[in-house]
Amino acid sequence: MSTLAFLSGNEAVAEGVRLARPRVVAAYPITPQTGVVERLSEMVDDGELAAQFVHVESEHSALSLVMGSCATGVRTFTATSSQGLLYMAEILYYSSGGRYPLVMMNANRALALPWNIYGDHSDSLALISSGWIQAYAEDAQESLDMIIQAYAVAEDPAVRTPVLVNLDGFVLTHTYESVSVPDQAEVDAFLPPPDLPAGFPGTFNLDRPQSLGITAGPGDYTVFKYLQHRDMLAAGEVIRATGRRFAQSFGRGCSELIERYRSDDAEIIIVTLGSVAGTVRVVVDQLRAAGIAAGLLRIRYLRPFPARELDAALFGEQRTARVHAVGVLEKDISFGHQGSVATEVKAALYDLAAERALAPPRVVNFVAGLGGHDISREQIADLFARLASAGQTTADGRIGRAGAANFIGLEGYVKKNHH
Amino acid sequence: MSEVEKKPCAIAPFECQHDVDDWPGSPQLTSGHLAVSNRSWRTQWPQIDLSPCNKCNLCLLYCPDAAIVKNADGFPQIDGDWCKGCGICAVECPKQCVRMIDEEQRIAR
Repeated sequence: MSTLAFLSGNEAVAEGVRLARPRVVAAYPITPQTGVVERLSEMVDDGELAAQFVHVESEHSALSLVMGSCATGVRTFTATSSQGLLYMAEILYYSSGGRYPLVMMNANRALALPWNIYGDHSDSLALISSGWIQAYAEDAQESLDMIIQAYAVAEDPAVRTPVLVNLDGFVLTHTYESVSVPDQAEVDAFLPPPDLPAGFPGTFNLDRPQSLGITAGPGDYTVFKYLQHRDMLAAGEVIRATGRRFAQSFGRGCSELIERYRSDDAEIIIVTLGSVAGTVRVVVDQLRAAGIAAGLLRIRYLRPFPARELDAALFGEQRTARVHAVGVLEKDISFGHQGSVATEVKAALYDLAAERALAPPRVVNFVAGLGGHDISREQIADLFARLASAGQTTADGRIGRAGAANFIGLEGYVKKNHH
Repeated sequence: MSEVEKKPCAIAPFECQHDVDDWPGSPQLTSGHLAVSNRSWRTQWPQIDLSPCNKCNLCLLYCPDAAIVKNADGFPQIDGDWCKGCGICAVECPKQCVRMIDEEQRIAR
């Protein structure tokens, strides 16, 4: 029997980790991640979680330590945020290249300078190419559910790729919700202990010494990188299958990499990720009540890139209306270009539209929520209005140019919205 | 015979694997393997004349790459996959058993 608990996002992650029974937890504290590892250290202290909790001197050491532990075949956990994630950057590539099935939580937070501890997606998006599966949770329940599924995905022999579960700093990590916490026996049935056959890479022990982290020459290196890419692509189907299995066991959750909300007949659609999707959902309902065909696509997994879901959502047979314009709302900026999510979506649409011999819809990039800046319902309603006007020429240029990062929330700071 | 005889892939398995489906699942190997042998590094080869050798095995101890092993009779043998041709064995041998010869000419012979 599951129990209802009043938990923050961090605490929900800690409960998910406890239920997954890791043997080793290593972490270095950083706001807004601290709550999850504080809770885990209490669980270890109270005997609720039979794990070694290792206090390390840095994030670089935290990820290195769980990677080394994982080489012996045990399940592990670590968590970080922002500067800590970037300090881990070397080991992110090292561990994904080594095919260690790690699970890590990242509390999305802005990057310095200027120093800022509040939530945006600059940290994880800077490491989109690091070979980690990237998941983005919308609420505390999904955070707990994603953590449990993350182990099943990472440890699948066809995947063998680490998973980064992202929670918006403060908005999600520190906000309390009613969360259904599954029973240990149910989770044990869904997620048995890692079962690595003898001789499987990473099953390192004193009776069977291995060389870990070997050299590969130029051609051999290419094969390893090709296999990493191939298996990351294959992870998409494993994520869907794991999500369907989770829904069967626990009766909830989306199994697709993109969640569609009132989008099949929508003419104007906002694509976004993380907790702000909840606010967009409310605005979509308001606009629908006023007869406006607005919709939402919430990216749950950004790696592997959800091209199949994007194609189905925008061009699939279930569509009853042509998409007029798409807005990509994201909390980051790749300086000198656009937001990283918009460039990903646009690149995918270019290929998908070419395959279908269709013109891709107009895509406008909205950059908002940097450094924890609130994104209001009014602002989101305005974005939908701008999408509805896309393609028209207006004197004030407010619609948003398709080839630009359109900053939201500068109105109070500058007289004219510079693009 | 002073060179170890073995199957070509015993030391460096990747060099003989051409199908990506047979590739190791991750860049980890059972100890005792190199991803790439040192064979191509050397320009000289340690030619051993065993007649003065008294099996002191100093060459084996001084070799920085463990490229010298004992044969069944206790005489030194060169492992061609590991030897990089540095010549330390030739300098250290008290009986002057080892003579460094040109590797290209040796292969051509």
